Amino acid sequence: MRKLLTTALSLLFAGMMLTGFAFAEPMSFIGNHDIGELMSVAEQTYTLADEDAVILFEGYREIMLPDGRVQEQYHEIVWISTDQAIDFYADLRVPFSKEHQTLTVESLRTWMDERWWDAGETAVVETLPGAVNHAYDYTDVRETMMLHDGVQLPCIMETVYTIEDKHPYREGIEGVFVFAQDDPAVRVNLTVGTPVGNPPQYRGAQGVSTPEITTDNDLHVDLYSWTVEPVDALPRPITVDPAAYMAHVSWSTWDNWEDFGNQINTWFELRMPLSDELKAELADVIDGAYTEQQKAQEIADYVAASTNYINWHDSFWMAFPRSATRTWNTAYGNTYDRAGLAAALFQEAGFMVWPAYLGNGYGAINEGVATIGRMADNFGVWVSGDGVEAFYNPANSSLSNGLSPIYGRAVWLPGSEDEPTVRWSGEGEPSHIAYDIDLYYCPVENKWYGNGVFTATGRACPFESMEGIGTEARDHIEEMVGGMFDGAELTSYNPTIFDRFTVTAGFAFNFDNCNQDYLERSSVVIGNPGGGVMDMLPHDVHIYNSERQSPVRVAGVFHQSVEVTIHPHDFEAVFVPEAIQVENEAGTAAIAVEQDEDTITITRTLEFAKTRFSAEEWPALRELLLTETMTKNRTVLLE
Amino acid sequence: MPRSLQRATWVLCLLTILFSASIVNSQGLPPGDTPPPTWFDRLASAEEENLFPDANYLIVYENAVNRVKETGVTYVDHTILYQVNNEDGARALAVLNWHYDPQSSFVDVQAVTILRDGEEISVPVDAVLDLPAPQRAIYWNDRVQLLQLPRLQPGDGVLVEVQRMGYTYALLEQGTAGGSGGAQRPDESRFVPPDSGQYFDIVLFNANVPMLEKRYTLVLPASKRLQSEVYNGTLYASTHYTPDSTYYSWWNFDIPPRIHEQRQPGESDFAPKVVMATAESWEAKSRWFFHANDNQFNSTPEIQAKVDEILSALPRNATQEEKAEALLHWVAQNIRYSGQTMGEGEGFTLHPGEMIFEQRSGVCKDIAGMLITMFRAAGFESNPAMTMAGSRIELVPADQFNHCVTALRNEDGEWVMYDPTWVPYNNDIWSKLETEQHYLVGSPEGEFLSQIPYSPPEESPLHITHTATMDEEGNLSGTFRFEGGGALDSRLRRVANYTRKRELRSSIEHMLEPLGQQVELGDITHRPVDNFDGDMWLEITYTIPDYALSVNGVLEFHSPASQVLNRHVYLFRAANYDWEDERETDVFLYYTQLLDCTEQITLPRRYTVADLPSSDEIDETYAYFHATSELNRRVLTVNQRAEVRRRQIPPEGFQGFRSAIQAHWDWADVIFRAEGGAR
Repeated sequence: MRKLLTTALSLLFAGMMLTGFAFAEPMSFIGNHDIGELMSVAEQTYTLADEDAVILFEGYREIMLPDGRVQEQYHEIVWISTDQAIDFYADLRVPFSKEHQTLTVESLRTWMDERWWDAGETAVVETLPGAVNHAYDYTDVRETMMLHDGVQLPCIMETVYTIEDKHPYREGIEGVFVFAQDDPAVRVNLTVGTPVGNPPQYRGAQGVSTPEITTDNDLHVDLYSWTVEPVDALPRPITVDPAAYMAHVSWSTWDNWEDFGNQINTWFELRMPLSDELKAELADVIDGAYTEQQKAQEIADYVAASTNYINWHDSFWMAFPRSATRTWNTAYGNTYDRAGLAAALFQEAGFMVWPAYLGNGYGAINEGVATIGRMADNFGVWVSGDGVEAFYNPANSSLSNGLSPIYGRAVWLPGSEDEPTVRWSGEGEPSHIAYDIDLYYCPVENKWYGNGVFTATGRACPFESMEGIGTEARDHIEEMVGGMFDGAELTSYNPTIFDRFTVTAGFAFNFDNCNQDYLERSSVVIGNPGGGVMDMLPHDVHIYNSERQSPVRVAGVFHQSVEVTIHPHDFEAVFVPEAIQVENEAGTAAIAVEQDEDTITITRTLEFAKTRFSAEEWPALRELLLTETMTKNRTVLLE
Repeated sequence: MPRSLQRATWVLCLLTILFSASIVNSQGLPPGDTPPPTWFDRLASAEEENLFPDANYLIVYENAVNRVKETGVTYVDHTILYQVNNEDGARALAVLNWHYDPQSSFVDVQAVTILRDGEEISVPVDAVLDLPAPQRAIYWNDRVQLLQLPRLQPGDGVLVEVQRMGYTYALLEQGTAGGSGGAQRPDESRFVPPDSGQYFDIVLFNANVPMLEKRYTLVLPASKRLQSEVYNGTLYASTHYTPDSTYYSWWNFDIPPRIHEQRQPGESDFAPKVVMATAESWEAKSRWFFHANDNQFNSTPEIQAKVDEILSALPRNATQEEKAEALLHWVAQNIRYSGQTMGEGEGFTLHPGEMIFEQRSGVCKDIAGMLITMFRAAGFESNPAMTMAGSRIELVPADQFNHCVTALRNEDGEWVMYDPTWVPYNNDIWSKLETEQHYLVGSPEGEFLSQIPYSPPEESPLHITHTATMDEEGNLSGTFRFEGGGALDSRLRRVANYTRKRELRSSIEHMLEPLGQQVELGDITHRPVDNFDGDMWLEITYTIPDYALSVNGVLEFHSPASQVLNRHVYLFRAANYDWEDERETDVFLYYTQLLDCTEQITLPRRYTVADLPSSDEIDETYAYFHATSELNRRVLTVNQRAEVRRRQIPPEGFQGFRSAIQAHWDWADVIFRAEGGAR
């Protein structure tokens, strides 16, 4: 059929060429998209010379068939003009489950030199994902390579493939589709299908209109279709949760969070059985633990030591539980199975456990549609016990017994609560963090001695990283002072307030006076406190970016102050920062300097006005961050 | 049992006796003699001696007996005994896997046994899964076999017995034969090597974990002669013969794990190894390679049309060299590295030009083959050649190759080397990252092993011209102009090409971040990355508010270019690493480099620099650094020159190399003090 179509098209085009009909590119393989017309729109809409690629059409269709199987179809037509685009679009790596699904490549071709170059038989190659090369139980999954032939820049590539369940194994479908892609697009379509008369829950956001609804009588499904055109590329830098600010659709065949949660919880429970051998092993692991927190930490450490983490598309394994015992016996686990092993051990040790999802980004994500589309990257276990309210992250088998994983983030405990909720909002009370330090120079030892106190609250509270009966608190505070003073070694510390909402601690440290220049001047540079605000900014925040297109979302309304009083002994200051006060829509930043005969006090304050900053507000936020970080605002030069 | 086989068995027994102390029954042994160790004895001994306490697991014993048939087909009986030392080791060995290429080899996992507390726990090998292997860039349908072991415990031994059948071939290091449960043992005729009857191998005598004993025995038919040599250390060795076969053995004990240091050459440059081959000479190898591939380069009307189109863009009096360069760049830019399989012959045969022209993709041999096809279509004499990227080739004529390139006969009758795989986005015909490499041209006459000449730093320069103006507030505005040649042409093109167009600005901001996060970019201009009319250049204009610190009216600042160069892998690779204090293996940087930087900073009116700093001149065998500064009126000129003089630096030259790089880093910390009030 495919050959016939291709031949017919070729003949048609050849005929058109002979008659002198002016056209650039033909019709798409499916969907009746006029590629020439799409290309023409691309040329009118975008400056092609400034783009690596323009997506002419991007289509994703997911259908829940009446027999309970799911069918997904991808259709992409893309014009490319650079090597970067070749890397991104020419050789596609498509994941699927060989045991539960079939993958059919319907079109894999390139329009170049005024003709289609169809990919040959060797261009579709089934491979094993590298992630499961040492994970015997997970080898039912595959990554099929689809290699385009005839790629020479510039050209247009078209890809159509369908992944279909061999048998029903899931009771619903759900997801979040963001229309913007890495490159600008002329037309983007999402189609969701459900058995006739069984509409899904759905919601369009950020300007997406209501769907066009049709019926496919062959498949006996109703199709809900959204088309957006044109769609600019995802704003840079790309953040972890673009749905927070970009046009998207959420859909789900689950009626509500509770039903969906119960299903996830059922799969979770199936992972929990423990063998007697593993129970005995657990008894050894937690034997001698002094506290419940230590017990929980020992379990997390044990899972880390006894199993490898298999990092591959979690969604393929959510519905295929392995028992905790099998995960332990094989010495590896994916996100869900490793979480299952840890949860079973926690539970056996007397803790209460729940499966838990956290939002990918900060802020509310519940749009009234039961989907994990904006939480899928953050599955773990909520662990509760005496002094323990912690999130266990299976990816690195870490336990966070504090607010930081959930502060400002949506939390959903499937099967036990109604819907994802931000329990600790970053919007209300600011998260304070204040450092007050005295620094004394000792000429005999040519060293600086410091002592001080810090207080941190809310999201800035380091309770979870300081808690423990080992060196946790020391390590945290040493990292904190090490960030401020290069080479600082902690000599003592003591907390006075220590709970998950507030930590106040005193500390003392020293460091060598090694920053001397050829004029024999010493410099004291007050850097970023380890664990301070600069460490809590999202990874996509780069202060060197003079502009950005995406908004910035932070966990809390941070208020930080660093006050350092220098007692320079016989040194005289030849340079101290200038007093600065910056106040704008993003917040305030200030440098205050006080000098008397014996001391120099530098106070650096940084206060965010809110947690959400639009792209337009980035220059204002950057100005605050630059005030905080510029060398001239943190250097004292002494001679 | 045939007489010859009986004899062979006897010799093997004798060898086992010789190598394993003895197989004498323990009863009645003379005082001091011990019976041959059992697997449990070996594990107990390893635990007691505890020679490598930091190892998560180790190889207690490894033995490979490789029987080569007259056709060149090999059967390798491979026995390996691991010992698990801790939980990390238990995790690492939880799943065993064997990678193989079904075109050239087969793996039969015969037995896997866990040795625990004096008990042998047999792992059923019918549970072995035979699966498509993970593949990236080379899609030849390789396979992998996996076997899940029961949960291991510290102290466990894991005994694995595998038979491999097949042959190895050069190019792309794909020849590792790998055991079988799922796969059906194929007919051995499939595994007759392309160079029928010949055999070669490179056997490394170390691994990423310690080995207490490793043995390798090659059993060759008596009719075959072997050339072999041990490199990078010493090994025990023996040779014995029977009427039918010759037995060559090498072995060693207590082998530490492979050394891992940053920027090493390929492990075969430093790991103890035996290189062996039955090939008579490099010339014979050259003839075979030529004949095995000479039918692959036929042109088609489409290819001819493309060649004509490319050449028609050149002046009518263009030389062969100019035409060759145009064809080279077309192939390098338009045949992407993504290899599909051609089925039979894959691995050692270059794909037909027609196939590659259609696919517009391939691996190195196919890309080289496309260029040969186009050269020949243009009327040039061109043949395939093999080389080894990243390691040296020893003189034993074994296939120590991992890369395929193109040789062109020039008008003087000499072979000139072209590498279309390594010169995309590079204004060169042969990458400067491949200098001093050995290569072998295939030809009907037979060629000897050749070597690409040394390339001095001047052939891979990075010239930096930085002109800037500083105002009285310490704000700096200026333009960086980078010009790269040779290896630095390709590195500089990467600065512009290895990022999305939409992200280029951010990438350049990141590049200038060492000058201050407050950087404000102006224009970014550069030669189009696919333009080869000349070497690459890149110009960046910028402003850095508050670049200099104003100390009592004195502007204090560092050399701006040094800040940018200090930690940029493309601009100055040698300075991008935190070098160790000592080295045990060579530093391998791939290319030499000249760094030639001139900065001219116009100071505010009536400012002068009192003490003009300069660096010591570090002139070492392998590297050089010197920096000076001068003031002419109010223009401060800062010059620095650095040279990396060899692409591979031996441990004895490391300290000198490091001192030059350290001088470069130190120069970045030097303070320039511009004082006002001068007349």
